Amino acid sequence: MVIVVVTVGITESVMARYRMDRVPKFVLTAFALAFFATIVTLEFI
Amino acid sequence: MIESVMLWVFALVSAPLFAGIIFKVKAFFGGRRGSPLLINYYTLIKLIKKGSVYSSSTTFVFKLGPVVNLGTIVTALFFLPIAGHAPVLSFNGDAIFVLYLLGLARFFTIAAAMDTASPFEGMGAAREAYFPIICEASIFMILILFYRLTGDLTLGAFLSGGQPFGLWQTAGPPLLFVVIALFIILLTENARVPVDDPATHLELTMIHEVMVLDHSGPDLAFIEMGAFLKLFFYSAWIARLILPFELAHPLLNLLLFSAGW
Amino acid sequence: MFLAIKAVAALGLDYGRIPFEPFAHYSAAITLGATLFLAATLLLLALRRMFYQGKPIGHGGTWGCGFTQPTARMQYTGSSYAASILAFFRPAAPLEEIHPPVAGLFPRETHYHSHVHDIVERHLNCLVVVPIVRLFDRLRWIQHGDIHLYIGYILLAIVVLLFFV
Repeated sequence: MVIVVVTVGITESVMARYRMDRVPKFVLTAFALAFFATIVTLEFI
Repeated sequence: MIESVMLWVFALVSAPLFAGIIFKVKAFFGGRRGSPLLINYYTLIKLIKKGSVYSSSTTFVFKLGPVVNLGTIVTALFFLPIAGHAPVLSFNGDAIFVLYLLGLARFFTIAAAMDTASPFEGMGAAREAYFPIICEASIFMILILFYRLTGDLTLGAFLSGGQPFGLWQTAGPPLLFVVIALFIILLTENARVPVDDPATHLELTMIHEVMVLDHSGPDLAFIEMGAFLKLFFYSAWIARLILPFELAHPLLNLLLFSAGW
Repeated sequence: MFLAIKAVAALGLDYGRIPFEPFAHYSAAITLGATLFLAATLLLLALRRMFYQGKPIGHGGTWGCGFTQPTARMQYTGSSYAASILAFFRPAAPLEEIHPPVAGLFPRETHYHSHVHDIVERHLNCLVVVPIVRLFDRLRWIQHGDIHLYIGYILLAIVVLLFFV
């Protein structure tokens, strides 16, 4: 838990310096990663 | 059973502390000393001691919002295995049930925000409805993956006992992606920085905070508590996935789980 | 619902054997969860009432941030609410916006109108309907009006069927 919240804190400190105008794309990254993970385990290839 | 209930109580009690650690880390990186670790407990007590001011355009929906919000997340925690221990309740498909409970909470938060008739809160509500659409797609992708790996659709089967370790053994590399994806979902769902800034004071840039602008007193305390518990809910998933080890004693497990070292 | 499934199962049909036990388990479990949620909510409502005992409760305007005198013409409408979501789903739901650019320092009048097109309605015609109509236009010679040949078609169909059945 502490690891997770510390990572959140670090991400916040780092990201706060930048403008974030691509939020949907950022969230879509999560979907892409999850989708890719699922495809890999489906063992089509 | 008793242990599960005690862990549930632990979640309720410790959630504000973990949110406080985020403040501390941010202060450290900002070169400040920061607020004390227990700041969130003080905030909650302060808010509960206060009275409230209600907008004259609000109805009972506005007052119901915080209560339903906290009620759903408290119920959702019943189904969450904490520190690898079996959850208080579990049935086949409870992962979906829990996710839609959180959806109900979101609906009531949005409804309460719309109830104030403030255009700013409407904008926040629109974003609150928008980003979770993408989040839901990713989290269901993760559920499909977990279902493929375990053949079960319960949070208990994914995160309790020796299971996360087994998941790493059968599908390590995809699980790495899942951890990153879950982290992004955590940031989005809890309105943390790249998506939203909980510390900002400009309504136009906020999502969650602008929706709760008109709440005050104990109502705001309920909302804050709900936010802490939601953060706990998502970080417990990730914490369990990155530290899938099982120690001999439940207390040791809890210590490992909450410390993370 | 379970009564209906039981009744169908009693008929002993092969396709009537729907396993209704899992459904019963699910609905019982979901009911349990919902009851818990209701109990938690009621408990919190009681707690809330306790917290508000003897507290001053004020009434005021909605927090407006310098935007304190809105009129009915300045609203956050349903289209505004859906705008960002519609923009994201533009590939699947083409959005048409009619909004003339604002001209001058003190623009007099403007209007905004948006319409979401049905992607099926839009592409079905050119991708499916038109090719099919063209194909059938080419096959028009089959339908020539000669009754003798029509009877011949029927005979042909019967002969072909004889090979398969």
